[in-house]
Amino acid sequence: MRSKIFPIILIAATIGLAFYAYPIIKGRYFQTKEVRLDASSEPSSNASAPISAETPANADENNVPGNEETIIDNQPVAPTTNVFSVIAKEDCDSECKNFIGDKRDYCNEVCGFKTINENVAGCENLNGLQKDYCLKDLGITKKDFKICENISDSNIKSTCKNRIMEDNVDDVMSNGNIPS
Amino acid sequence: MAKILKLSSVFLAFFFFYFLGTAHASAAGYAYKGIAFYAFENNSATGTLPVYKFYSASRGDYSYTISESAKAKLIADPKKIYAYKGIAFYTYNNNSVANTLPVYQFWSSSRQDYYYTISESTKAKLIADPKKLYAYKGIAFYAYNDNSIANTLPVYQFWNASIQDYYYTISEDEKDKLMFATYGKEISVGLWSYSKNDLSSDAFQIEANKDYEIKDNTGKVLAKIAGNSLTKVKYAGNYKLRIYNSISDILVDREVQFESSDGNNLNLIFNVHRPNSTYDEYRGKIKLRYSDTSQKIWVINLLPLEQYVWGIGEITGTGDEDYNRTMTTAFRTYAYWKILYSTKYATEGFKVDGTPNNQIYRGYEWELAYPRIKDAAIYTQGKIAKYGSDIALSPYSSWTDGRTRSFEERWGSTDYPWCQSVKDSYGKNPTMTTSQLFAAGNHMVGISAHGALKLATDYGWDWNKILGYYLHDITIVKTY
Repeated sequence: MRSKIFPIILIAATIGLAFYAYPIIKGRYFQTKEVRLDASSEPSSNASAPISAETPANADENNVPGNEETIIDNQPVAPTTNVFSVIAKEDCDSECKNFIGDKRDYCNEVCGFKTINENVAGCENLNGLQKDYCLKDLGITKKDFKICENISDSNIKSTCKNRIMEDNVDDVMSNGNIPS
Repeated sequence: MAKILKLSSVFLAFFFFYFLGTAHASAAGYAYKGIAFYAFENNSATGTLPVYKFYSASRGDYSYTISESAKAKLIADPKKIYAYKGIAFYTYNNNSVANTLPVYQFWSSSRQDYYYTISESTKAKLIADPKKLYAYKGIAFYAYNDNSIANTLPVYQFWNASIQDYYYTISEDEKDKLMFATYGKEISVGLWSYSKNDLSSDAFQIEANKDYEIKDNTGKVLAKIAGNSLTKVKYAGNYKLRIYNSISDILVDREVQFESSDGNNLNLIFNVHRPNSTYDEYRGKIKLRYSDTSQKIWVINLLPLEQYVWGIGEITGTGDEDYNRTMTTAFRTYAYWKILYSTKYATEGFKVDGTPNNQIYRGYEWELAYPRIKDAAIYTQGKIAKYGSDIALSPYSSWTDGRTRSFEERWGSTDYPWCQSVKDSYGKNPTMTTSQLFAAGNHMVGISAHGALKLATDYGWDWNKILGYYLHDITIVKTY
């Protein structure tokens, strides 16, 4: 009994696969010549015969279809976690030039274009973003993550913590002498 | 019956492996092939027409047409084989404009791919090809084969081996995105800096392995230079840089950039004649930038992250290959974090310092001298350590005293939970005390380099296992 069931299952599975595979095979190998972008039907018919042409500036003569080099396979770029919800990485890359006024000041603080004030003091007497900027400079100067925790603005807080992390890691990177 | 069973099994195995195995092929990227021809980005030139871009998901093919009727036909096609993707660029539909040349269209039915070329010799080769891979379809449109006409821009050609498709774009942004899809995001590396006085007396000198162009800080091309022609730059006062030698003197404000003339910076190598150094050659773009903050002029190297890793001078790659893979993944993770979050050198215009202040980066000559680093980087290409969604930025320490330290224990923050203390008899220094190790700069947080080497060499651990041992609860993620 068992010896009969197995081939039946196998045949059924084969039929099932063939059913699902058919459109794939058809699509891949037996495509009908449907609407195409054939050039022959396009540019004006009075186009003259090709005139003498040289190789385009960089068109490699080996760059003929069929001679393509094997390329390194890659996967799609995973979306990166963006630390900025308002200021994007691109804004930092463009040195905040797309902003003016307070937004530019904010962008400069978030992206690090504003020089850290190492003599900062009296942050508790300030309000709003000015207080956050002050705490950021203080936290970075003292390398104290706890000071960053008191910052209200999430972007400024991230900049504060990331900078301390960066300074800590970089301070010790130079002393490595790791085995070669 | 046995034969039928065997054949059926083979048949089933074929389908499983063939179809499931190729299911993700379309995820692969486009490789840069060069400049196909020159056209216009907009319709400001008299007589130009839009060239429309279409994409067929079922064929994995991008196609282009200048014909309004072909466009209308494709859009109206009830089978919707090609989807309209917008205007690719502008050019002419006849040769009434001087200096334009025909761009020929070819079709490969085996690849289901349209291909375009302005080259007569390529056209001739394809037509003569005995395999008849591509069939000649006619003239698609007319364009230029160089940029001697004002406002023309290169149309770049890319090839996707996985879906067998040629793709064309005039967009610099898109070109960069496609190119960096394989090699990662661009990283800026501060190589060295000049004081204003130093660069007033001594010139910065640069030449390349192929033709390059000089751009100002707005991206405007100032000149195109033959690769072996030496360009010099000096500080000219009032934040101006004077560019000379290969060209007539030009003054630029604060910044000048050198990059490839053909749009491909991946195989561009500059010799920057670095003072007092044996490492003069660097892949990618080179920028000179005056910093208002430090009042220094920095020499900055811009290149994809992966190529940066190839030139890291922290190791020579002579150790066990899994040690090299562990370390190249650590280098890449560190640099990836820097690209996204670094603010330390923002005022100077770069993300990482190429000196021991960060990771030692020695560029192309190091890459050639120690090729096993590149081998390890290729093996681990694009992979970084992550803790959940966080990049597991991890310091690496040369030695420990028998255990690593948690980030919290060393620096007082609980925000970096991947840095936990682990036993490290493998990386324990045989002679130094804990205080001597700290004094020598061994923070003992994160990866223990000697431990990693011993685990790879003596215990046969692979790089994944080593990273997982030193960095708590991480996953290795391929980012490109």
